[in-house]
Amino acid sequence: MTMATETGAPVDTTKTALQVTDLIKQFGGGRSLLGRPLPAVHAVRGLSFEVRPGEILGIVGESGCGKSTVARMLVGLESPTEGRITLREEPLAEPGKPIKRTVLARKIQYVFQDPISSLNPRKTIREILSAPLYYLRGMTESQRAERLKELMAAVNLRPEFLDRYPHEFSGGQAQRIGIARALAAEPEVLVLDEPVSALDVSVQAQVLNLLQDLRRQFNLTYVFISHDLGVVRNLCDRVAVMYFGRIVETGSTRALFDNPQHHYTRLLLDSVPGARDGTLPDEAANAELPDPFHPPTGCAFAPRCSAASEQCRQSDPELDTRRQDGQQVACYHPAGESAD
Amino acid sequence: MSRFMNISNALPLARWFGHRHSRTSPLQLLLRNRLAAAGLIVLIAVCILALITPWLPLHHPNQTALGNRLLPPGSDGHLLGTDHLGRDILARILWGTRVSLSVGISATLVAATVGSILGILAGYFGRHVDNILMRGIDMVMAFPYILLALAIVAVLGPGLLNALYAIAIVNIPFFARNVRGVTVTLRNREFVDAALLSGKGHARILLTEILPNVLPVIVITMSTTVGWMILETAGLSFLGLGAQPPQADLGSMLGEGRRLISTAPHVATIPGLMIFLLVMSINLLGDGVRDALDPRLKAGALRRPAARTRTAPAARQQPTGEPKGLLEVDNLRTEFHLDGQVHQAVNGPTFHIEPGECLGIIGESGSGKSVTAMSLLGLVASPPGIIQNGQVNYQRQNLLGVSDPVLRGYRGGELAYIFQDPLSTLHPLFTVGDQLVEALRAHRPLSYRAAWQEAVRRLEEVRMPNAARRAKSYPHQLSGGMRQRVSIAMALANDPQLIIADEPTTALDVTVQAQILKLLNRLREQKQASLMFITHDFGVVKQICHRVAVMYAGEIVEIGPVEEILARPAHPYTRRLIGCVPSVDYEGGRLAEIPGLPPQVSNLPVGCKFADRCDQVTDQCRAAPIELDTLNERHQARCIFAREVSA
Amino acid sequence: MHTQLWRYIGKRLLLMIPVLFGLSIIVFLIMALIPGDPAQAILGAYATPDNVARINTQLGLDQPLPMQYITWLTNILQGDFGRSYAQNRAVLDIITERFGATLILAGTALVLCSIFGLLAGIISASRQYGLADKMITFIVLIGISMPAFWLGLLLIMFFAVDLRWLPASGMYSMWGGGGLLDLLRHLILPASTLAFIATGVIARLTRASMLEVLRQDYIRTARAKGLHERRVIYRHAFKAAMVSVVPVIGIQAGFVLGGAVYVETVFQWPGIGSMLVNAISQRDLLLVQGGVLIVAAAYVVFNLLADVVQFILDPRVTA
Repeated sequence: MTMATETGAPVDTTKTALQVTDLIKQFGGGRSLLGRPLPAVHAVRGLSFEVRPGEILGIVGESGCGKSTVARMLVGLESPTEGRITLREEPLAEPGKPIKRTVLARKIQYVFQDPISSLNPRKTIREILSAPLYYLRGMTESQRAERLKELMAAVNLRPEFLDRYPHEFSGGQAQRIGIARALAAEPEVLVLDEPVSALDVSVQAQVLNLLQDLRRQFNLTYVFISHDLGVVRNLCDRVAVMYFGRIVETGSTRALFDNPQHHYTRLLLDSVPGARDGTLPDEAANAELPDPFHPPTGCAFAPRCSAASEQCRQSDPELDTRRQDGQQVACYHPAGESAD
Repeated sequence: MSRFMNISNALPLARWFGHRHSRTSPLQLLLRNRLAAAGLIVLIAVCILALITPWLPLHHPNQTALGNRLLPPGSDGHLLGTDHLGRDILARILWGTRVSLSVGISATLVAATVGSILGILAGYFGRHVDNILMRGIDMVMAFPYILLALAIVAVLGPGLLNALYAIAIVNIPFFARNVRGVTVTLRNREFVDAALLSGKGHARILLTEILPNVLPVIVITMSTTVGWMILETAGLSFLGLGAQPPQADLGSMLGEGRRLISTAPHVATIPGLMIFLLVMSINLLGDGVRDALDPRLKAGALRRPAARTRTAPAARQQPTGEPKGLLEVDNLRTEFHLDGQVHQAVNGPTFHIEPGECLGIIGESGSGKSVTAMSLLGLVASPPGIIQNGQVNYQRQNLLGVSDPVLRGYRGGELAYIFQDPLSTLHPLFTVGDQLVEALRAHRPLSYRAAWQEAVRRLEEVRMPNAARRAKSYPHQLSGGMRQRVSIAMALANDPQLIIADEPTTALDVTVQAQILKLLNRLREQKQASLMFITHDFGVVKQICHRVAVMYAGEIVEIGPVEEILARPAHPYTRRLIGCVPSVDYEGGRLAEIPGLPPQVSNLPVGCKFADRCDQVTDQCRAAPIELDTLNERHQARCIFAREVSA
Repeated sequence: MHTQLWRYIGKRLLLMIPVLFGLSIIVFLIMALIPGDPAQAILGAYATPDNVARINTQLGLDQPLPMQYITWLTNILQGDFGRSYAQNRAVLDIITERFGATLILAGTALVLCSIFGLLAGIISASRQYGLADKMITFIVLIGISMPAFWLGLLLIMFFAVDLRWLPASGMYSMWGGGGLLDLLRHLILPASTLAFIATGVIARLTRASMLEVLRQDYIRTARAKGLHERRVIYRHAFKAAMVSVVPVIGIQAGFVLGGAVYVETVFQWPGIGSMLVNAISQRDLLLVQGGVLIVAAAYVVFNLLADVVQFILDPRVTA
């Protein structure tokens, strides 16, 4: 079954492009020479989601929620401590198995947050873009020359830019080069980690529109990581909200923004300045995250939550299907049907 | 010993390498540096002399003539005299220089090669590789420097080659540590991850991605180390452990001559002078190389910023007439003079702030909004900043022209700042309480104890939980939101009339931002202070500002009440800037992007600065500067078509 | 704070054990890997069959390398560094006799170079590109380009031979001396020689760190608070700059201890440095070994002190 999404692109709802099951990532840990356990940061604490072909899934959260770690695991830059990632039923990452990076890189690619830092200052754009064509696609020199032109055209850059160095570009142009590099590998899935957060709004709009066009043109599936709720609402078909290493709520963009169920999602939306009814949440609200070395047993948001009960502090709620359209929330006391 | 400069410089260097190539090549920069050029010339001269020595009409360096012992310089046939065996000192000096130079350079090459390989491997692979390699390096470095060389020579036996080995081994750690430091920063740069995702293997990444970026650091370390290596080889020879008689290098000549210091001082002085000359020229050149390869120096970034921005006489005139509002800014012009270019960052904004008002200044990066804010109290880094013109009138005085003590009285007193990143703007080595106390005591005669109590009270005012205990914390022990509360408490310490907040919430998460905005707004109302809020976010403006000034390319293109501008923007830039912000409240569909980029402030057009990106542009727009058009008493826009746009 | 400090010192002391251990391995290996017959090499000209037999049993040279190391280390931990065959005395006795002189010289030089280096660096940075800065930069450049042994000779020529103000060599006068004043008179030239060069390094680094720090955002904050520029430089900038300067002062201790070799030779200062040079030329390897170990251990202690100062200075360093 194919249906058009809010953003107008065809999404196949019967198939799964990317599936993530019970993903866990700890940093540090292990044991010292004397056998004492070393402290471990629990960056991602049990995460499951799926992305359908042609869909844009947004992952939203504030700093320290683990969204970038998820992104890096999806493309194989980090390996999961536990859990698995599969692409069209084919396992990409399983615990204990080494990552086959070249296999992975042909299917799933990454767009970095800092466009300048992700380009080697001592290489021309031609050298940067040729690398995936040569190492991943094994193209000959003439094939590469042809493809480079196509790529530059796809991201609206003039072909004569190919022989320039990264420092000669503005942030927006550099980010388009980053996108072109990701496209060069002809992937099915693109993981975009805050791709517009370093850009000014006028340039941000250029890049967001470009991403929309490219998705249709190349039949791409996006996992779009962001902290900017406006950008996510504009671009994504579905959204997952992360807090402290877990997904607390997920659903279609419209349902989630119009009718948030989790109290954290509500807080996020209410905190956006100049939006909604114009009143911000209480200024003295506690905004501290729990200690990542010692995650709490209960809901991580409970200390900040007005609806928290003893149950919330005792055990951590699982994601639960609440509505027919697939909106899921991990909360014992979800907010009401209407947003005030 | 100059090498220790590198360790501190190497890390920031990596950040900058290749980032900004200016039009001038490193070689030109090197020659522009007079001292380095002098060093280069002397060094080239010495090297040429050393190279052609075998063909020069000289005495044989080892030919003894006991009848001619200890002739003074200037003697017939012996320009620099003779030594205690009657050997010609000039010949021995030149041959000795050959030996010293070649040993010094060889030792440097050996140390650089081995050290760099170790450093790159340790830095790139990290973890166990790093641990094992660097612990080994640490062991070598745990020896007092020359001592290890002595021990090695002691075992291998005296001799020039053994001295070379010893010196090279002892210097490996410096290269290893410098190169490792840079490699670690490079490894964490995203382009290495990008190369991995492009299908490159580790070996290829090391050779083609890392090495080209590390090379400048290796060159710098070498150029600042050669001189020292020559000194060390000379030192070992001086002690009789390097070159063995009759072969001479500069150090052994000095060693042989030192016993004659009271009778024939020239025997020891001349080789010493030669070593000094050689090493000095190498060090001058080395410093020049370092400066030329470090782009921070090009940009003048290592110039010390003065206590106050340089201000041209035109900007120091006293105001005539009654200033408008609480603080009035009139035709402010701030420039940056960099690399021979003038960047006109602020091009004459004129505005005022009413008492108790919150004025927003909005713009994208490079619009000059922050520089405008920093200019008010002379906080723009200078060099390279200069305030060329304009007035900042407060209480009938032009702040740009007042004396330093008067300015200090206003800074943090009646006029206070809050900056963007609360981690870098608080001093890392003082407790937050201490920093608050300092702010209080700079303006009020308080005892430390009384000021501390006041500081705690101020922290409570910004709703810092456990204020009394948190006052004893250092900034790094607090979260971003808490740090920004400290900054706000510090700004409010002396009950200012005006708070200038430069993107105070940009570095914060959205839920924390909401709290800080609410806090600022409450305090402004309670204290009846004015707030000047610099931001790039229209949502923030809508949330807390009364009026807003929109800046583009250093100019105010529109200013007026917030609701009016949001509802009926009169400048095409304002209209389209609002249009391209995605909203959380509704699906916008395709965003209305603004094509192109803002003009470079080093090369501004005469007419409308937005003309190149505007869809309503006419020839008239580009012909002459556009003046602000008054739409109504409070609303002005810098556009010929302002009335049509807002209609 | 105090418990934290003691915990930190305790931890550093514990960490010293592997470092000293590593040092001993390196020193042992250098000596053990001497090409040829070690006993022969150690004894050199004193290699009578009697001595060779003695040293073979004493060092266990007929045993495998690890066993040799254990024997050697056990002896050293018991204070037995072996015998100097050139002087026919216990190595430990010679070292204890001379160690004090080196400590006095190196300690004085270290204090001098720290004081002058910091002062010069601060003045240089606070008047960047001014006359004082240019002069200091130039003198510093001379300092780091000057061979210590040559500087020592020049000073002797000028102050001892020509002007006859100060003694040219030794630690005490042969006649009528022995007091503190006499020691100081003898100390001035060698300590200044040694300090001059290290001063250059510290001054350069202080200048560079001060300039780096003065560009930081928190300096702008300090100015925005209305603080006087003197306070900004001497309190805010200086403290932050010290964080990168202090470890280098610790490293300078190593250079000063090493440089003592030259200076003690030139001024015939009766310390470990001049002893080492003599021992090397006589191939008195056990004496070399003992001397190197002791000076290296002293350096480790100096570095520990620098680390402790660093800990007190910077709250971000954790115990």
